[in-house]
Amino acid sequence: MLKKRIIPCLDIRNGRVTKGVSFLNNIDVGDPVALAQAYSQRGADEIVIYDIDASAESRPPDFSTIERIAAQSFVPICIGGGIAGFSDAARCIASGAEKVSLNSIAPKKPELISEISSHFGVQAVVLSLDVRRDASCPSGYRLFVRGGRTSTDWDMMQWLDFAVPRGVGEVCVNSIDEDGMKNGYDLDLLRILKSAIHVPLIVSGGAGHVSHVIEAFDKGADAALVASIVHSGETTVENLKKACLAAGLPMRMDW
Amino acid sequence: MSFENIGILNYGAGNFGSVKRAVEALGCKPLEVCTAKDVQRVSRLIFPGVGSAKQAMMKLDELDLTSPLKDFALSGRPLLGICVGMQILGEWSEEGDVACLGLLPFRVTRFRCREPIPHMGWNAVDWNQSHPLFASASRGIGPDANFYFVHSYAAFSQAFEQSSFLLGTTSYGGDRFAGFVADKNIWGAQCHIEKSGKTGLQFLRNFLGGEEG
Repeated sequence: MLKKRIIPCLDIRNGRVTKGVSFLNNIDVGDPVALAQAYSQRGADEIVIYDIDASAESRPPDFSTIERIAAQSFVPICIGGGIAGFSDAARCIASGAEKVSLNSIAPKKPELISEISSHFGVQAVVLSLDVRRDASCPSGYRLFVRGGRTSTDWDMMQWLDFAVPRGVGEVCVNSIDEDGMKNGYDLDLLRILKSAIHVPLIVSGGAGHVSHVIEAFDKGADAALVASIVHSGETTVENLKKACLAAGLPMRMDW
Repeated sequence: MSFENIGILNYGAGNFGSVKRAVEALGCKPLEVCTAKDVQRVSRLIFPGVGSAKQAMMKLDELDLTSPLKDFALSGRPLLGICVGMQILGEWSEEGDVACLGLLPFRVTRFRCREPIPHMGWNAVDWNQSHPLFASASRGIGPDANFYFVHSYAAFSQAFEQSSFLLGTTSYGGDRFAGFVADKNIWGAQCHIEKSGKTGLQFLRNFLGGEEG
């Protein structure tokens, strides 16, 4: 049976992990290579590396860090931030990543989706979207870009209907309304997406407690992106998976 | 133990680097195989693959690697196809309606189940314990161990003329397909063993003929 995935997300700035990661003894928690390796050895099903300044600074992600991570972590790696064109994506993959995550660039340059997927396959493209509740949109949600700071003219569902057929292997959705609130994922959003899209769905933003992750998996999420809940030491990937397993969810417990 | 002279075919498949890093993590120095001459030089060959079966076959043809690969397999030297590399060991793929290498008697078709496609993530394998290679291929790997899969097409069990080639099967949404195939020296893994943690590395080690790590 296919397992639900727990995916830690590491935010990188100047080659260092930024968010307060405090749980691991004897490991330089600012070093993305050591941290990714530790997560991959402790049950992470995938790892997302997000270069948070790359887009704003109009530079590609840090390929040498990707390469060093890939030499130590034998689980799938996804890179987000700073992918402005096909050559950036190709270099991420050559450096050892399996996937790239496209966010703000996708509405600006939708042809990039098909350029990457026709060369590397649809599984290499994660379409990441930040959305906010908006009653004036047909689906009830509006697409935002630039880290959720800038609104677009796209209704969320119209955007997905346009973008996914171009070659998207997974959709990762972040609810701006719930992000950082620790109240749980937006379950209405999850329900709408599950009934409309036929690629795997990753939820992001809102988990403050293990029960929120269980709830999202119960409602059909295929994977959950986790950050502060594991970085802060509140729980571990292993404990998170044990709780999901106890709730009857299929989880990978061998690593 | 033949940890020497291991080749990895580089024909532009996206996971060449990942497979190389995984082989290196086992303490080997793999050779990059790009030409027919290179194929003849190596004693074991890993054949990665990402993308579509049609693209992979076109690329092999373009690089004049189709016949050398078949000759390599027929010579009895160990060959391991990964993901699309496994799929094109068969006779035909629906993905691009393309004739494949024909080294093993199976056909590859798209998932028909109603679950999200691609089948993406970690899944278990039901090993065929009566397969002659079961013990050596699964050495050091627990019965519930998971591997990382990403694919929209597969060799479904009913498409096998002889189920004796099925080393292990995996199910998704009611569809059961080949997770691993093997016939003497010709092995295939539908999953990405290079990205399946220590379980995947152990399978790779088993193919390379090394001791349990």
